[in-house]
Amino acid sequence: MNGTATDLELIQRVKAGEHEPFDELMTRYNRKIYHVIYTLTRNHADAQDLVQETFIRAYTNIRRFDEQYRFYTWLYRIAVNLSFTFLKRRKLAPVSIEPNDPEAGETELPDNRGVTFAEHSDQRRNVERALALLPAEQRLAITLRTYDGLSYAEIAEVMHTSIGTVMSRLSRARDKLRELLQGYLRGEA
Amino acid sequence: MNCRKCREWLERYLDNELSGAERAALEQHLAACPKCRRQAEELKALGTLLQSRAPVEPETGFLANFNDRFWHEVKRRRRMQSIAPERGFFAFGWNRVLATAAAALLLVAVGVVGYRSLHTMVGQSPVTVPEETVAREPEPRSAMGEAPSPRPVAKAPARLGAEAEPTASAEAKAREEPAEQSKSTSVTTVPPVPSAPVAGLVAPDKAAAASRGKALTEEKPLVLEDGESSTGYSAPSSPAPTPKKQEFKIAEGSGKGGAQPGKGAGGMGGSAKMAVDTSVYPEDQLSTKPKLISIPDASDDARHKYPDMEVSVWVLIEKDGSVSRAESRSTTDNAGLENVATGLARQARFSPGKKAGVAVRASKTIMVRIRSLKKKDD
Repeated sequence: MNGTATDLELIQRVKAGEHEPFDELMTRYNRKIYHVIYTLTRNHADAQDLVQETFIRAYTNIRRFDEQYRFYTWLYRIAVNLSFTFLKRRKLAPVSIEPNDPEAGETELPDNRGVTFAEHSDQRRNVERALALLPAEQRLAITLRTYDGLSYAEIAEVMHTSIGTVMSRLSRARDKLRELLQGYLRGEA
Repeated sequence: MNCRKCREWLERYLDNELSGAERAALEQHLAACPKCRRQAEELKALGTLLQSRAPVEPETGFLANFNDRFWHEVKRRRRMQSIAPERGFFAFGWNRVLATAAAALLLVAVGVVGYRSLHTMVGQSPVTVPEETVAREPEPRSAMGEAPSPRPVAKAPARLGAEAEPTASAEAKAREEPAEQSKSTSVTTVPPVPSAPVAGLVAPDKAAAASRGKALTEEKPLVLEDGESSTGYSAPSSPAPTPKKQEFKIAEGSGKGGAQPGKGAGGMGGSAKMAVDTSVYPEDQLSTKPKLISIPDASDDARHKYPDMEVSVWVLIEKDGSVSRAESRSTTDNAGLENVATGLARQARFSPGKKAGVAVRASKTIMVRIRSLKKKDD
């Protein structure tokens, strides 16, 4: 029933006191929000907690949502802020790539930063491993751009920074990924 | 258009961020320049590779029951009056106002008790001082925080003026710009990571925060044990001198109600510690900000292993400009890199931060960048 309603229409109904439209909003975005949060935390249990907290914050503050903006960038921003706050608390804890995580693959990251991942067979796993080697801000920027398809302006809004900073983070992320994944790129280019 | 301009625009081109005219000019150049075309193809292949990533799948059942669990949690919190979007009273943030008022009342009460206790101390032996009036010993924290962080001897040569402090308005930009200096370690200041989830959002009340136990901002100021971070992490350390417990407050955060010099944790009761200002001020609360004087070069080994990589490092700067603590604020997923960066930061020297002309302990976040060996040779 709500399949064709826009985000804005759903939000207006939630603001008017209905609950069901928020169900639809959650269904639309919970997977994407999960992906973004997992990109930062690299841990399923933490991501699950933070996804729920993201939607609770959004629901609690839905009246404050400025309708001139896009709902998903607002939602992403809540998720990103919560994730960075969480990471700040977790700080120097070693990267926790879960042993049973198919994206993560091996539990140890290579010491040799110059390793060419194309030497390994599993492309998908190695892309994830290369991404895991990026600083969180760069990893987030490249994910929002390539996976979520956000524009520079939207990424800047989500990350609460300037478009120039977004471009810089993307550029550095790509430089590093090209270095790490050069075998695949040569093959595809 | 030349190749340099083409390289500058290439990513924007592939990200559909160029205007029509820019796009046409770049395509014209690509058609004529095989070198740039090759680079464009490589970038395009990287984009394809990244776009082909499968979505991260949560554990089985998580999304299927997500909405049910969400509403259950909403109801639970509403029972605790921590979440009430439809009620204007709470939406306005009165719960926060009430909590602030209660905290203020509590402070006044503690002050009165402490004041009376000081008076009753005269002529009494043994002295019984209410616990709240005594400067608290740091509470034991997690097991990870057992190893104290030593205070290294700063042995770096001074490089006055080598690293100009960027202005506040340029800080965010400077953080992202590649450093051009020839040093192996470069440093820029960075703005603090926002602690609030979203500007203007109502924070959950303390009960909810306690129930969640995660992802919520800490109450500040904090009383920490020396050698231990607020997250319980203790930075890797070389053989330590005798660990000495030391009390101090972190006055960072909102800028409101920062730690006051001369006031111990126990307010009026902490008379023995009143003479020593152990407060730590974030640089934005200082009249004179601490400025970097020198930081040692990274070892060749580190420069080989972590070329051109950077880490955001929070440093605690003592009144004499030495660094007594450095903690990574980045999440590079690379403990080795962060250890190198924090180790270098601990050996950095700063001009002391000052408040009303008096040197105080200060905190600051800097960006430590490890320069590659190749650039040294260039």
